[in-house]
Amino acid sequence: MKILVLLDGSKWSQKAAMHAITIAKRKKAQVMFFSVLDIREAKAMAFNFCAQSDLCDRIKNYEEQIWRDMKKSINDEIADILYYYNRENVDCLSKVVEGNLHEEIVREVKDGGYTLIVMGAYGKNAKIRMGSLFCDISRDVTAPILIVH
Amino acid sequence: MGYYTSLIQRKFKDVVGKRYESVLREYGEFLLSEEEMVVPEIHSILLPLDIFVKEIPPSLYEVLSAYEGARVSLVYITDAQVYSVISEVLSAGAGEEFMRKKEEYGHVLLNQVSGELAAAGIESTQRMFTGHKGEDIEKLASSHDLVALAKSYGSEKTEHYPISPLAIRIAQRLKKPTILF
Repeated sequence: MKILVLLDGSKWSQKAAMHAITIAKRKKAQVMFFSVLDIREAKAMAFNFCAQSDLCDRIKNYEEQIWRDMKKSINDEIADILYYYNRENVDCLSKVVEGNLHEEIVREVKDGGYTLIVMGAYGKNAKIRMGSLFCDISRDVTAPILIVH
Repeated sequence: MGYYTSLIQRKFKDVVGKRYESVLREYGEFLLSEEEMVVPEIHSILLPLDIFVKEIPPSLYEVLSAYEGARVSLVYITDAQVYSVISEVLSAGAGEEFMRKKEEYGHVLLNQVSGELAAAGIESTQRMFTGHKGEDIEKLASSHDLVALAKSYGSEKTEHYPISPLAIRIAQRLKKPTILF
């Protein structure tokens, strides 16, 4: 059994990783922690911050800094989770890719032959209604999707 | 050091004591608290069925069997509103015929899924009733630990709509872990 856990740095994806460990241990499954970094997110954060703060001359610097921080943050988070999973003797791997969120996830699901996809119910923008990502993914994949609240 | 502790130390290494408490209070929507870190125990699983659910993929049974000792409640719901409309617009007899056919299929499906669950080592109970496919599932979900919901629950899947709008709506409203298959 192979489980794909989607991580985006939100508290919900952290909960998803914790939930997946129960299934992984019981089924002796291999777990892949997968995260997609989208440069458009760094651009949006940099633009919104600079536009509101009248700092538009520094927008490129901010964007680069945010992009670096995004990479570091997700890698640190994955390292924490891998440490925890390894301690629980769960076979696990991780992958961080850059690109379009929906496209990269669907590609990974199709290429990876996963039995189950585990994701948080919400994203980094707090607890608003469950997002379009869930609808997009469930449209394109056949594996069951476990949504963790 | 546990996962939660390392997470907090990494993200808030410079925020100590009362300041951290205040951050946790004000930004709780974004921050995982230690209480939220607990993995829920799954003892009961709700699996709604209806005329549009044709089969359960083997991968779902494999996943459900991971929740050792959990019991699955199979619930087959026939839409009360459709029955009422058919009875009023056509005839009472047409309504009864509609209900008979739906229930006939319901019994077949319930027995089939129950047998497949048993083969996977999962205990189940069966229930069939007429009601509201969305609202009744939301009510029943409150007494279960996990919901397994078919993408076709509530309406046929099509090329443009591979997930039933009702299934999306239910998944969005539920506050329990939900498996969409």
